[in-house]
Amino acid sequence: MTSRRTRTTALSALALLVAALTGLGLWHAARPQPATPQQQVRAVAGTLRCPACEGQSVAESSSDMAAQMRTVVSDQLAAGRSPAQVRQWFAQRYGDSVLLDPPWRGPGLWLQVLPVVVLAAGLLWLVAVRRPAWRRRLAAGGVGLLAVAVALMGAVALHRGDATQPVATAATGGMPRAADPVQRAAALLAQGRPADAERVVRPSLRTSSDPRLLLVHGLAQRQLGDAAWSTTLREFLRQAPGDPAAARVKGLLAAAGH
Amino acid sequence: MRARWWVTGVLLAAVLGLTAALASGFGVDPSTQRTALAGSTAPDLQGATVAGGRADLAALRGHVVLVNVWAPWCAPCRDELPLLADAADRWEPAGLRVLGVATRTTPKAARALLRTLHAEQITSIDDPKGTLAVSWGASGVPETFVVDRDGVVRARRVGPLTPEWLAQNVEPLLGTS
Repeated sequence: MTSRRTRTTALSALALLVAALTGLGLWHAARPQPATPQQQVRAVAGTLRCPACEGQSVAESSSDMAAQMRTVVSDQLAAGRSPAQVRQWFAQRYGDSVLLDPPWRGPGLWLQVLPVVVLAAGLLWLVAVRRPAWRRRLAAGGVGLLAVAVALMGAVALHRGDATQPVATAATGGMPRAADPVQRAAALLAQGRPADAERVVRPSLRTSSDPRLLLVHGLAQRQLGDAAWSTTLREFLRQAPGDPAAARVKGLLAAAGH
Repeated sequence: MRARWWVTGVLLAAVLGLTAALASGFGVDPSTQRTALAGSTAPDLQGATVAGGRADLAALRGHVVLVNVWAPWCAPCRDELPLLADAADRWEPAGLRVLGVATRTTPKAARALLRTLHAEQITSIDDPKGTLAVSWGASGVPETFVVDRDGVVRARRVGPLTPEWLAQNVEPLLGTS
């Protein structure tokens, strides 16, 4: 009886595994292939992680950095390089972390292998139980292992970022997930929190040419008593003389004797 | 009983393995992130300069070169350029050269800032689309790469340079420390 039940369990597990692998293969084969050059660029850019953004791909990010990288992808595909060669080119410069689907080596290898090992152990556990007195407790252990495997797979998907992107983008109506740092910093300034505003805006100063960053940066410096505020605001005026805030900034500089 | 130990062992190994893998990126100073190019021959870097000439990194072989990616719209770059100009002057006799990459800007804006900061000795290649910056694996501005006399990338600085970082990463290559 025990032997027959064990065989049934084993066959069920095997059937489930085959069905899952078949489904995965069909899904992979049914994915639309990029046709136009723009689609090809988007397809390759979708496999690259934007190094200056929060967990977004180069295809999805609206940052200047991602735009630069898309230009490079476009140039290289137009020059006849294959998508794999383009990805390799980026990995040589930014490391494997720039790939949303990194190769199997280093810490990434552990992240890929561990869930499979735990999953296999859990399945083996369930089918290999022969001693009736132990069965219930051991079966519970096997289910526990399967739960750990599922949790590990979820963690790996989150770590790789690819599983979260469609959800995050859909939830924000296609807009970037992170709020505009200028707006966030301006809100903090209005609340009298210049140090926090500075913390929000500083990373973007390295990656964005938006002159409004200089505006909030300069205003934060002014509130913090940093003497560089006037230089920053003068640079803002030079870059965006027609900005609606320009008149007020000129007034601040004039009042301070600059 | 032996089976229970086996379960405990697998669970413990799984948790430890996952923790190690996820934690491998923590605790790294972001300003001194190792570049994937470290130890490799520097990528090609040549083109028209913002001053109207031409520059080529390959022609500087035999010198220690600081490749600095910067932009006039970048506030940290404005803070950094005077230090870079000073380093270029001070260590030129020892063999240091500074090659800028003026990224996502116009030659006119780049020249204006260099003039304002008295840093016109920094030769800068025009990189209007930011593609040269990408070819060096830059993730923003300013970012600086140290290339040794053999043309090999040795270090990378993310964010503004400091005198300490220059002393630690450039002076040993110049043989002045």
